[in-house]
Amino acid sequence: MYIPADKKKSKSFEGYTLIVPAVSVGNVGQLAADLLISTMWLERCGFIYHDSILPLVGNDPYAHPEADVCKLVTACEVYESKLHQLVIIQQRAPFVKGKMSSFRRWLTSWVKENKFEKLVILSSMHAHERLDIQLQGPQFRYISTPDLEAENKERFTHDVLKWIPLEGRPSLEDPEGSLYLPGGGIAKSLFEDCSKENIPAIVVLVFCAEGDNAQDAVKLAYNLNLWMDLIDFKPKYDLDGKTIIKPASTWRVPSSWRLLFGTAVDQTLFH
Amino acid sequence: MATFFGEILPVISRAVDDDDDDESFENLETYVKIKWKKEAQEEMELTKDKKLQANAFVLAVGPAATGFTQTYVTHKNYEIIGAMFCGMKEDDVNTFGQMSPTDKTCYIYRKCDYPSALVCECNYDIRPEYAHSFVNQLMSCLNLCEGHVVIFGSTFTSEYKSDVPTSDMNPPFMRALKTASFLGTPMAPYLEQPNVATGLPAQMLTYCHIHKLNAVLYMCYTDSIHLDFATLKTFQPLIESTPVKYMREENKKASETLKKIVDLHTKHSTLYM
Repeated sequence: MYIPADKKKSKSFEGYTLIVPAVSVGNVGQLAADLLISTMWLERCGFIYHDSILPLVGNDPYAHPEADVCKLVTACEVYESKLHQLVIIQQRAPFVKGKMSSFRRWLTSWVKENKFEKLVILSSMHAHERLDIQLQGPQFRYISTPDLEAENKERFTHDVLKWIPLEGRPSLEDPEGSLYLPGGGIAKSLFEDCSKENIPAIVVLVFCAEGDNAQDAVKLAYNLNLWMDLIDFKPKYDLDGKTIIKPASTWRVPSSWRLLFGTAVDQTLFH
Repeated sequence: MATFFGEILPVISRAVDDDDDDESFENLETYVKIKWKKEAQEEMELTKDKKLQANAFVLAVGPAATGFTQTYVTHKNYEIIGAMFCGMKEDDVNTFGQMSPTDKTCYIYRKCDYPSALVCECNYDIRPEYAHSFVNQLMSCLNLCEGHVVIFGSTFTSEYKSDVPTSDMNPPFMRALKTASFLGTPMAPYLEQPNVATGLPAQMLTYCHIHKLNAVLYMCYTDSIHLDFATLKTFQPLIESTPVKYMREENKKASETLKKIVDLHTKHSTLYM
């Protein structure tokens, strides 16, 4: 269930966009969500406490590395931006085997209950499953429900975005080509659930393999930002056109991304 | 996936494909069972919300944490009022009386002269998938609104990531995490990012955090596979932590008790005598 961080403030998410990362190959969706939350300095507005997610606690992942306070983070938390009418869920622990459909059911009913305008699912796909034509060129793809597609068609095909829809795969059930997202976690089934329930939804993904997926996450977040216009990285100049009021910025990497490959090797091994 | 040397390896990924859904953890709710003693159940019936009043609650998870609480807290003046059962396997070694520290048990103790002080000692690893049900069933019977919760756990230094090599950290060492409602300072440094705690201790702390209870988690990082004296000694300063300092029972034979517990755990782990 969703538990607001501050029960006294009643909140309505009507008309907001919900961004949900799927636990997918390379955890790219979750890393991209981290970048968005960290760079936009989003505030946590609530927790998701559901028996389908394994337990996890830690210290504040977005704090300064030198900070010495304890701001607890749990397995699944919700962040919001009133300015952008945006809510981002961040999931830090895997699903309990056999409980993914239970979580999807809860999520779709929560989306409908809160009257979110649209759902954006961040995901990724196994790079080794690419078709020949996907081997080269942009590694970013999207797939959206017909209503969102119609609404945004011009923007997606515009020179700035140049988004490519995910190529379908012919299967025994559907020779025309159906949605094929290996390694995408719950993205495919969640997208299908949304289509059935008439919730406008879009899956954005990159092709990748397991490893240091920070760059894949930046690619995903960058493309999403081009569409949704959330963060302005360009520097801001004064009226004279020369003095810089706000310098050019970049993605703010959270401290939880440190030590990707674990503790440094003990150098006494090599004496 | 082909490696540089030409061998084919399976692709390992944390991404679980959707079709993995018809799996084994279906009956999570019924797998964990809590049983209360008759007197405790009767007491619960008498209260408004059918819960036991608890002002102080200690959850000890794992052999090191339970060894610590058995030595300094529950060794005297405590009675068992309940137990939690979470599935036993064929190869689990248990004595008939379930009273040996190496038995896989999870008992709930209450202090005889301070009935709102409770200790839950779970000396074996509960699978994280059952943690949600375990915590929900336990906490639904306790009223902890004004109370203090402390959780003790232990894990391996191989799980700990830092800039400093592990040998320089002088294991075993203690780290802490607390809920926002707990206004004091824990008796150990905070667990730094990117480290996290998982499993039953994490589930309990999550529950306390969400329900705005005062709680602290103390996690001991040890490099010993089997329970050893050094690990138990790392817990010792925590007898002054809240709320343990109000619940402890002085044990003049503490060193002997600790040694007995360590011996019991090492009996089947020494390769050479």
